[in-house]
Amino acid sequence: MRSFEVETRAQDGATIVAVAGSVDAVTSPRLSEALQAAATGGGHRVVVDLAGVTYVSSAGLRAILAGVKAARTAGGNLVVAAAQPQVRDVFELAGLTTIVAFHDEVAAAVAGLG
Amino acid sequence: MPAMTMTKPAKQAQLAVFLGFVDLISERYGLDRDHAHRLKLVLEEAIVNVVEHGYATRHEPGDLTLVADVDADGVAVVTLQDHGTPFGPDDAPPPDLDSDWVQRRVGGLGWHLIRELADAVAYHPGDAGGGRPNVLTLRVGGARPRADEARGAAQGGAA
Repeated sequence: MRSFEVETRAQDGATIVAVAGSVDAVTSPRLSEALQAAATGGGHRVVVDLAGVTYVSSAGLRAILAGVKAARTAGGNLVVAAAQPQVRDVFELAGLTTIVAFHDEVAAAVAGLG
Repeated sequence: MPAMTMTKPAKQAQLAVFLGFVDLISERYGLDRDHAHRLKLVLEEAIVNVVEHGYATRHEPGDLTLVADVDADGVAVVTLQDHGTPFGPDDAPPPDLDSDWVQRRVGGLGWHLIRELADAVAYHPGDAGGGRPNVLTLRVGGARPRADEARGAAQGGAA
């Protein structure tokens, strides 16, 4: 059983999607589902809290990029918080840090949503 | 230490088994944290390519075989063999990393990550049938050299 958890909560007018474990080809459909629900519901303001994520593959990158597109298309935004360096490196390699804003902490990420 | 081998049908239901095997490779060959991460990423991307695309035109997917070993320089060498439609790194268009969020494609990152993170990539297409398989060889350093592996095994056997 691969380690993976995703929880969604409301905070200061945003939807926080907190993820933990390995975001890979096996687990990423659950992240996609949570991000699409968060991006298309509520105020379309989403923070993906990656503090507990130890690994992300292109399957996870696709889930987050699709979430960004869904949130922005709905008039909102999706940003990332608290990614560990090894995880952030994968986003950089894939050229996604120019598209998705990264913040060190969730509170700053919520503020960054504007 | 003998090479590690696993053969399973290249289907979604087996992905977790393949990824579990990848974790075992790093553990067994003593890859450090950074190289274990790189090996895991390149192998996941390569495995997913075969599972999602290699046998896409077949009613029932064929097998994917992984063979892992480490050389005298501490480089983990993993080959993937399948009998699906040949598709190698040169067939994959590079992703446009400068496009904006509207234009950016959601897919197409797998081969890019493999090219960026593996120390070497070699691909030999097969005949897309039951004969000669497609063979993708990926190399990632950071393992215990093979001589050390042999000594460790000998010491383990004597203890």
